[in-house]
Amino acid sequence: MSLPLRRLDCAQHADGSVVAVLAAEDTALALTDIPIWIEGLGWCTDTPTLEMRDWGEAAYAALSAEMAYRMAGISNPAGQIDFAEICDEYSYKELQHMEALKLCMPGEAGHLVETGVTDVNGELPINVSGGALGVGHLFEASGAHKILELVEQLRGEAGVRQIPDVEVGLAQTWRGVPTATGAVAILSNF
Amino acid sequence: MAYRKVAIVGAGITKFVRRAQETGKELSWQAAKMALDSCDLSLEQVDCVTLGTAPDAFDGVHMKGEYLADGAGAWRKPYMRHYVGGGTGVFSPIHGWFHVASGMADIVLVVAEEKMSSCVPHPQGAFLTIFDHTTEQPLKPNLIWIFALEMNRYMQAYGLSKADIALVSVKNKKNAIDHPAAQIPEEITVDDVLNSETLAWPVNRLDISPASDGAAAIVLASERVARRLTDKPVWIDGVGFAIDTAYWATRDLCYPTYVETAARQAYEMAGITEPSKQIHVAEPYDPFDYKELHHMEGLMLCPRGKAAQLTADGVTQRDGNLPICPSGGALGVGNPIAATGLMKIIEIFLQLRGEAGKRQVPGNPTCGLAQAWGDLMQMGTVVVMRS
Repeated sequence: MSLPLRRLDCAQHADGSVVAVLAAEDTALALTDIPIWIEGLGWCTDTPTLEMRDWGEAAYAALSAEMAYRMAGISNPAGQIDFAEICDEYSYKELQHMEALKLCMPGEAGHLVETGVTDVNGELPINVSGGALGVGHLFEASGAHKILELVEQLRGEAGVRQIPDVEVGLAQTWRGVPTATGAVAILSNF
Repeated sequence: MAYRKVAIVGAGITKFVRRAQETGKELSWQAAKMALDSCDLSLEQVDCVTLGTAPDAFDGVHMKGEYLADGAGAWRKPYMRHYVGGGTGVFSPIHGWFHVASGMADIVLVVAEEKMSSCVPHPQGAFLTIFDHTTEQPLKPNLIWIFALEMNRYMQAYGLSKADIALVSVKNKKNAIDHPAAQIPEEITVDDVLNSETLAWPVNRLDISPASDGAAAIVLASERVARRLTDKPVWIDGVGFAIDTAYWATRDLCYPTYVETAARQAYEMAGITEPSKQIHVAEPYDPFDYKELHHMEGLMLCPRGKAAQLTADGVTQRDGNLPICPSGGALGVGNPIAATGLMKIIEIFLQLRGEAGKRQVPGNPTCGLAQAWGDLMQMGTVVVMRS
């Protein structure tokens, strides 16, 4: 497509729609036996000017994660997050975002993928849904698909994709080209 | 409902003009800086930024919320754009209100920007693509064409003449003479309105607000912070927003139900049971003169069909019993869509603080409201404020 990105490095566009229903605690407990709680939220916009960004890292992801971790009381992301659905609109973005989210050390993400740590049976499953690269890229709605995957996993309703014994999940999105805007949500089932 | 009290503590506004030299980013920053300076805050103290701006086509930049981010002061901050067409400017404080009321932020900078001059030859062109592609676009409706239908329906329903409605334009353009940001303040007569060019009967040129460039900004704060920053916080006591059907054929053209629904939400929250008595000053959205009347009725500030009579009786003048659009409104100050709604919020803010200068309405008002309307012309947004 544009070196070093090849066609299969890029998520394919898709049409789709995802809906979530939110409720206050009392109402949620009356409506369902397995409510999924929103523990932390963060969002951030870095500079819109292309020339002024640090292209080596995703500041918007790091800052939105900081905000969400603070709200959720998470001090050790790699230890406290059981699994994550993160933006993989381009293949390298998954790695860049893993590092910005402090799910691993800078420069370590590629090694974790190669050694199976991010597989469904690994220690830190990433994008078990298939992500945008596998499921398709819904632009502004892609983040909602990640939330859907978190809800299904945390409810134990993910079928053949189910990761055993998960309690805390993280969803992260990037708004895509040309933006440096992103958001993070942390959900739990307890 | 458990939420925190939210106050407006600062405000800033650029001059509204037909064609600004400044870029949209620069207009946004000018208003943001003025708002921050007005309450002695620096950008570092702002927790979160929200931006209101209407169609991308106006500024000619796709995803213009992203483009305007640094101008609005949002660099590396939590930042969100909201957009409900003409209703955007009054939705702006509502969007900011959520962030403070929920406890997510203590200080929120709310910016509204529009640069319509970038859309050439005229921003009307942007509206050719907003309606249903099968049922409505083939009719090639522009907004003036559509509002001619609505204005005519309103006139027929209540037996009003064009002269009855023109009084609104006369009043607002005159009020705008005292507004430092005003684009087309002028003293005109009803005959001037009736004799101006017919654009689509019954709409004449002077029945309509102009296309404008401009920006406005306010600072919202939680109660604890607000009391530290100012002796005169203005509280957001009620917020409401609602949409009706997007199809022209399935909604009541002579009564804005969307405004009533939004107003009822805001009134319930603010404990207002008799709007016409408890609201001391109001800024309904007036992009067309008949719309001020329409909206007064939707806001239940007077019975249906009676707003024109109140206007004729002088009740809605600045020194009347119920001053309406003391700022000069969109008709006089100008109509940079999103910024107009926030200009109205700022007018109520200044009126309730007793800081509106020559525009100050008498009687020390303590409760006011601003309202806007837009999206596909079926959205109402309402904010009730108290000193």
